[in-house]
Amino acid sequence: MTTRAIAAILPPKRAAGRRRFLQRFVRQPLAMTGLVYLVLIALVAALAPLLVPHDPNVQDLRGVLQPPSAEHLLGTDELGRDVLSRLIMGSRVSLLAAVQGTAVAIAIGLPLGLIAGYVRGRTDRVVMILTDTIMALPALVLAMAIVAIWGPSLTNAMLAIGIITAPRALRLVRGSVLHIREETYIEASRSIGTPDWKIIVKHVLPNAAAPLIVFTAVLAGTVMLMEAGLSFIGLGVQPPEASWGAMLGTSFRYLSRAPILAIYPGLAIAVTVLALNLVGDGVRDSIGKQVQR
Amino acid sequence: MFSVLLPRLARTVPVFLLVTVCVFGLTSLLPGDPAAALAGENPTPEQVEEIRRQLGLDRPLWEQYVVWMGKLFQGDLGVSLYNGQPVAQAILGRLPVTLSLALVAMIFTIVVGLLGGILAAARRGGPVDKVTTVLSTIGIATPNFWIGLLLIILFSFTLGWLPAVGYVPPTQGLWPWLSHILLPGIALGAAGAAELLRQTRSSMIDTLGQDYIRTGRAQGLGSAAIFWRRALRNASLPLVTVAAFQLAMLLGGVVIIEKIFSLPGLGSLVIDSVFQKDLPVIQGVVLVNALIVLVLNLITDFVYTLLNPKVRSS
Amino acid sequence: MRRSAPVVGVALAAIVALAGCSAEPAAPTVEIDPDARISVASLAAVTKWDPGLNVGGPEPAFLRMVYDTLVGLDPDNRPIPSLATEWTTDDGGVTYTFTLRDDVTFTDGTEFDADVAVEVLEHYRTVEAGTLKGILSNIDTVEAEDDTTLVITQKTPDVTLPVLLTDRPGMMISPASFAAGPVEKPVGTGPFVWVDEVQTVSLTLDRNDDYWNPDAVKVAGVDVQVMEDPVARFNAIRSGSIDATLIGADQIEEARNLPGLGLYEIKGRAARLITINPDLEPALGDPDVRLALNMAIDREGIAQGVLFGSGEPGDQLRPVGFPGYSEGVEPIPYDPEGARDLLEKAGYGDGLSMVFVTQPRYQKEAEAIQANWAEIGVDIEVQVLPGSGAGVAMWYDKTAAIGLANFDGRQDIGIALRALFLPNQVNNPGNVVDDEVTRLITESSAETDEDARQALFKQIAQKLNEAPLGVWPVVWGYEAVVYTDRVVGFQPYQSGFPVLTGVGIAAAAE
Repeated sequence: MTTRAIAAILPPKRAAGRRRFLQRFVRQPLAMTGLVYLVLIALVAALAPLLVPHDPNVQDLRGVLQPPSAEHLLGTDELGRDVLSRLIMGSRVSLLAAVQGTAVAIAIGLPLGLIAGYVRGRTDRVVMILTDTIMALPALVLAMAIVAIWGPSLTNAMLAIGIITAPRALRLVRGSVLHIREETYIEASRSIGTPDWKIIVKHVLPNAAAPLIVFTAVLAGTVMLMEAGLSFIGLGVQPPEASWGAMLGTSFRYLSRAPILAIYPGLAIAVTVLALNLVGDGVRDSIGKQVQR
Repeated sequence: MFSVLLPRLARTVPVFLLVTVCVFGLTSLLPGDPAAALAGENPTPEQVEEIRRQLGLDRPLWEQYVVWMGKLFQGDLGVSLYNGQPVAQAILGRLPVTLSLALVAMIFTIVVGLLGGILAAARRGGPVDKVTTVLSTIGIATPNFWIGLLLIILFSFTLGWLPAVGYVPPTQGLWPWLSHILLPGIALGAAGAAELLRQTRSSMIDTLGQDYIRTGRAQGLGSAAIFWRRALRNASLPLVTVAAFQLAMLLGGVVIIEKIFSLPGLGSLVIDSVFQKDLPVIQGVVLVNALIVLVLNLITDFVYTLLNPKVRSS
Repeated sequence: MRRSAPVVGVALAAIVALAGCSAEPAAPTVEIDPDARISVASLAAVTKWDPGLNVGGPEPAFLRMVYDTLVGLDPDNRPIPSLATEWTTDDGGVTYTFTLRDDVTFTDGTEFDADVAVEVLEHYRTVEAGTLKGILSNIDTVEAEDDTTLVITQKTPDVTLPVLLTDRPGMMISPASFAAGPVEKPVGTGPFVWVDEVQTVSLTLDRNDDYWNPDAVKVAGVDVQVMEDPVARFNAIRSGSIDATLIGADQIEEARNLPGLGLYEIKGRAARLITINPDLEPALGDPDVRLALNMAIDREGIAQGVLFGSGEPGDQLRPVGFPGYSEGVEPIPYDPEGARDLLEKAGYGDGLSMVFVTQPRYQKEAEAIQANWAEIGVDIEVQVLPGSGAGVAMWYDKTAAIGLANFDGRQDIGIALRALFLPNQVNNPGNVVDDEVTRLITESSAETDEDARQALFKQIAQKLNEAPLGVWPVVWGYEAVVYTDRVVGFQPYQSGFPVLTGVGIAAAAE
């Protein structure tokens, strides 16, 4: 797909800016590598049931913790299940979890940040007190408590993580809005009587979007790491499903017997988060100086 | 400056109160019944009720909250439901472990982050720069507990140089203490080091191109002196930010590391108490942590204002 | 074991054996360093020194070091004389008369006699928030006939009373220690005295130089370090920083392969039991469904795969060969086909789905069971609840229809059977009972002849395997006491904790 073709799909008004952005983006090798990897891993996740060499949940109690073999390319885990198959299925869970958690964080942080930053006054103070409160509580502990209360499940864990990371998104958006609202064209709009919500949607939001997009990539990475942490201590995905974090967690018990089991899932997480960060960096560098930070 | 800080200070009070309500509310919602667990084998419902009464768990929630807050203001953090140990004592007992961990992590972060960032900026574009950039990007992406597991596999199992688990207080010897705390400290500090390296590097690169360095040279100062003086001054801002952020995130980040390395610190205390629904301990630890975080935020803002003239004037 | 005839002769022999039995291995006698201390790592130390308030678990191991019990235990977990030298019942298990030693003094100077025993037992029965009240609920009166005679009368016949007194209810503590309020520093008559402790971190004990069985203590003191993580304990003993500890099934194989470590297995203190509650899941009220579910579990596979061979199938409420185990009882066969047929016959050919709770320790076992049952069309959602969550959900809150939890076997199979299969027991939350089984269990409580009692147990075991009730044993997980080669004298006590009487450290020749 050429950049022009992409630009053609987008609304004409901002097509020129978008085209420049895309042209800059594709010229960055690291960012492109990250993007390619993410697309690949998303494909793997989507096609997982077709790609797995074995059923990831089939146990072989008499063949546990086996080293790699022709039958099991990466060996078997503590219940005799095929590690490779579980890694592939795990990609589905981990990626979906990252998307869920990020979506929740943005869904909470974006509107609240817009409102707090634009309207200011009492609303802003109240929102800031709430965010400060959440940020003062230790993240993992808060997540544990929320999950423990609602019941251990991946969805609950992602909701918890979304709530906990929402303050960061909120602050970012609010910061952008604070800058943007001082612009003259905002003043102009307001003086001719345009309703606030219209101003927010048509003028403030698009300008706040760019740093938010960068942030989203990084946030997805953070959410993924937090999910791994929660699953590690057993509060995330529930058996027999696998997520990379859960696989990492169970591998700890057998670290001296089969250390290799700790390496695969950790590597998968690290590389994916890395790709997300690289893409985020790439987006940031491609935006250029035309948008305020 | 104070016009910036006073509102922040004023905001801290309601935040603190809200934190106490949240902590109390959340822990009361936790599933599980400490009275049932404390009642031993085969208790009758009456016995469980008796224990519940003794622990004050049968009073309405708001009353329990008020009692707790009252004791809090007298400096009494309460007593563990499980072993009757005063919470303050439990916290103090575990503090040296977590502090040791934080110390080693912080030193690692600062040394590697600062030096790496400065070095990378000085040799910008060269192989050193590229390597450190790659390493730091990876370092930010990696879960700290995975780094911990890898370090254990490499340095304990394979090479046998360092122990895999446990904590030894410095009173029993400096090397024993260090050998036990080094691996977890590095695991904990790696992400911060990577972050600091990147920020130092970019802040340095910005600075190096600025005019006042050139004017400094015109005034006859040796380039090395200028470099280091300006370098450190500009690195101080990201340093404070990252350091404060790391400390604030400490309790959360330390939980899994303490579990992997079997360190009897605050992280494992809090995780155990959540699982046991030992309310006083959870409340005590989280509250103390929140207090520290709030204070740290204030200090950070203060130092930020001091160091960054632009903020001061806005 | 209880007999109608006095056991004095056997008792004396046992005392002599215990006193003189420093139990060295069959090798030439090793010289023991009398001033050496032994260091032990444990899952937990002691949170409450009053046995009447203590929650049990790993803690009684340390209570025992400071307190003696009225009745002692031999390595096979059978009752032997301790503070009580003999006990008899003349009325079929309702009243027991204990003869006490007269030469025992608490470390605070108080003389131990029957009056003290009465005071202590009353304390356990009445203290506020006491944890032994349920266990002692069958006791009617406790009286001191004279200084050395203690008479306990129960409400219904129960021949397991002496066995009860081998654990916390039988621990003798100095009344002075609880007279003024909760016990702060423990005062007992035991082989060790309390010196110092740091809650959840460490415990220090010294030899009791005035112990009534002086040859039993061969170390100068015990230093306990608390290490919750089994991996940490294992590493500590590998590196030699501690002398002895308890490890789990996961590590037994590895421990065997390490040079310089001694080991003995404890087989009967950690069974994984499934508890069901038909009130919450009606399908479980159907005996065919219960049998089918049992037939679908690959117990042997779990012992091999999940426990790495350090375990055995749970066919009865005791491991093979242990007191209470019955020979010649058919185990429930592993027969997924047959299970599927049974389910169809019961009307669940389309399958069944339930929520299954467990504790983090047994997640693997739960997953294995999940896979086993998936093969016969039964889908369970495994919920791993941290802490005591699973137990609370099954037994107290009664929100879980089925779950897997730990079972330490109790001190006697009779006690275990009562707790699990009689009506209105906490550990039988769904009140799943069978009249015949109930009758057999009640009869066994009053049966003073040991062989007759065993025969009753055999009948019960057979019935349970033909028609499982509310509690199903899955596997026995082994534990092991591991010790370095400096340590001599460990007897393979099956009670589940390292028993340090008779244990010493070899005189330095390292």
